[in-house]
Amino acid sequence: MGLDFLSALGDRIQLVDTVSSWQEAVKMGGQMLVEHGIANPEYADKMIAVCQELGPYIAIAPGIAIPHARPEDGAKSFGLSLLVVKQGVEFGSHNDPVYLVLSFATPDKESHLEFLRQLATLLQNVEDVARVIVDKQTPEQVRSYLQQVITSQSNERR
Amino acid sequence: MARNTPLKIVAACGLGTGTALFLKMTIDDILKKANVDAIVETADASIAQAVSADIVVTAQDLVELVRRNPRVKEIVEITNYGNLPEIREKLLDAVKRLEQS
Repeated sequence: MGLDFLSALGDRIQLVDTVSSWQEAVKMGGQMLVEHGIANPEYADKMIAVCQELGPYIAIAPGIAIPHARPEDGAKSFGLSLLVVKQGVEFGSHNDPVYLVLSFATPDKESHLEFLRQLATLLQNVEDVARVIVDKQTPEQVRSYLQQVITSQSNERR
Repeated sequence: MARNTPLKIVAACGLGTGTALFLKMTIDDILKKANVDAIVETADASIAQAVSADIVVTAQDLVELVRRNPRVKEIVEITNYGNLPEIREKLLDAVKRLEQS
């Protein structure tokens, strides 16, 4: 099971207008995990390496990517970070441009199950969600909007 | 045609921990509703190249790798993991093809 989406995200939300490359976006996402002690410093570079090695499949749906590395690449506990890139960034994927860079670290294969389950509900209309989020001004606004989306959609599912 | 053994389906992604796991949950749900008897496992890129399976479900990036694996009967390529109808339709089509073969 593990932590739910919003608990795992905490206050690790950052909004930027542009980034120079997808590598920079992933690095910033990883940095937030490192600063909060969720991952070791090498983890951010590993996330970039994984994407270079295996391709941009981490851009899983239009407008959203979920960078991550292996548990043994320096994940200390389970946690997320969200980098919002208002102008979008190209990952070289058919799901470009990516506006939501949702990085995560997990120390095992179970801690993030509840997060993935809630991600499924978020992904169902992720294009609309991304469009609303890029117009937000502060991390707090992003967080409360996400809360609203996740709560209303999981209620509908029941 | 009725099968005696459950289908073996493998959800694959680069590392086997993120999108593959995500996909497995979605697939489990779809197959349960469609009443298809299957065992769904997850795999990383290296396992996906060697695994034997009735169906491998994965993203575009890994499709070429999996295509070179002769032990996989059907490959389902997902472009948008949030598009449940896409996943459902492609997956159930593959199941149908297996039943007809």
